[in-house]
Amino acid sequence: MDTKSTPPPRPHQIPNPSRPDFLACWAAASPSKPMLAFHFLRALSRIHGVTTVRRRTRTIRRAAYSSMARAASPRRAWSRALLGQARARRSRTLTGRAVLLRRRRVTAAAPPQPSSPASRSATIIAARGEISTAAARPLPPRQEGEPPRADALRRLVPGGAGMEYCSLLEETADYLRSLRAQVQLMQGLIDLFSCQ
Amino acid sequence: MRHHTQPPEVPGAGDDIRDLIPVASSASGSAAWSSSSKGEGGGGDGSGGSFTALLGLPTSQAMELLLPAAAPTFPADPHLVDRGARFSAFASPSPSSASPNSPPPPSSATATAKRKADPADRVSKGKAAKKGKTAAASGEDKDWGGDGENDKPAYVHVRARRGQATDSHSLAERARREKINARMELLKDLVPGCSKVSGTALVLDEIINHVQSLQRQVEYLSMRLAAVNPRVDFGGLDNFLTTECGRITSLSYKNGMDLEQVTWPDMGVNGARHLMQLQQHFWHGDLAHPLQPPSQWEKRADPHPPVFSNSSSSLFGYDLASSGAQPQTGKLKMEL
Repeated sequence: MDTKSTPPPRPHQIPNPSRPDFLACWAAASPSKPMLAFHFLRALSRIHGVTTVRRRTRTIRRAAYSSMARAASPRRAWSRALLGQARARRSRTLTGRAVLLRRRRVTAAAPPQPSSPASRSATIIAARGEISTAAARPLPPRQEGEPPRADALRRLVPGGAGMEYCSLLEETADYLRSLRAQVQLMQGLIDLFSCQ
Repeated sequence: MRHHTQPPEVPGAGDDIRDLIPVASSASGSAAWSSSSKGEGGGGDGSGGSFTALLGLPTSQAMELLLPAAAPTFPADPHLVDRGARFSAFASPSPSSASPNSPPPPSSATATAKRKADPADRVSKGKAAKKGKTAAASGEDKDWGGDGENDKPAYVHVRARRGQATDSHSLAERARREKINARMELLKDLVPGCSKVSGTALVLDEIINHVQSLQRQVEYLSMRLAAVNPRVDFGGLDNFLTTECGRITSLSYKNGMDLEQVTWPDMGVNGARHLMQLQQHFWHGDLAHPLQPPSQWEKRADPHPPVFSNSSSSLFGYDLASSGAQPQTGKLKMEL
């Protein structure tokens, strides 16, 4: 069975969930989808073993956004903003000593991500001072022909606060594509696992 | 400031000029150039203007360098080229040749469709100053009929339309507005049901609603995923995608490469071992060919044969505990 030869599903459709076909079709549809699925599923497999059911929704949602940000190109401002938010959130729950302990545990167990120790200390400092970098940049850039609805869009799109209107639109487009892929993935997973 | 008789932006004649080059390659192109650049010593290229001579190339090749290969189709009108060249403020000897010719504003050009500035969303910032100058040249109220479709040239040619201001500020603003309009078009394609709506505010509302609905869907789906039977193990799918992603990344996939590089190493040796174990089973052995594991994974994985279990529906015990000696939530948060 050659799954690669099947045509990719149309963007507004979720492919038929028979198990290996679905993922292969869906993942072959666009370049970012395999990465998305990979990160998300990895996160899911960890979450299910660990978190209590009560908090799982929140964690899964955060995992969804993080995997979206991971799968996207790092050139995208929204992806960087999302990952920065995730890091700030993690470091916010930690005090200095706990961070050191956790970092030591992580580096002992697995090869650490090359950027993580530096970024973690940076985010700790940031978290200590004031939490989000968005707060440090209060002013939106000069809005010329920008309609008043644009600030609602800025609130929706991660990292939208500091952008110009032009780049906001571009980021929104990419964010939309990524969101749709994520929704398709999650929907397909649910279908997959609920009709077993 | 570069002086050249036939700057690429010069007119929508930039369009005309460009048309000459791909259509008739060197023959008519150089003919057009030479006709408009009489007495233009330029560089070594006798037929080329000083601009292209700067590049030290024959005109056609220089234009091809400047412009993307997929040049839009333009009317092959050497007369427009001539007029554009003559009206250019850059042409150093051209004032001398312009005055004797002093053709009237091209009525034929105005008769043709008003040239729409390119909706291309890449503005060449370095040419902003030139744009100002060329607009000044065209401020003599010319409309260059660009023939319909401008695909995406390498830079935006912003041309002052009839009666519009030609200073650099308004040009930049116009370029910006066109960029914004281009992005709005993109967004309208992405958002379903938005093409019928006209007017920027309504389109923006639609976009905002769509983003909100997608975010709500993510929330809802994550709730449902949380409620999925915990017995179901996502590890098996994980394996398939690992090989899938590994294969794709091994094909030197460029986008997001650095992110992948960052995250790939933390699979760890133990994780990879389990993944290789379970991969074959997941595919029931009959999909081996699209899933050639890339070499990087094979190096890390144990080379022992895949373990087959006969329970096909349930996913096997993916050993979560072994993938992290550290607390799982910690690892999760670190990885994410």
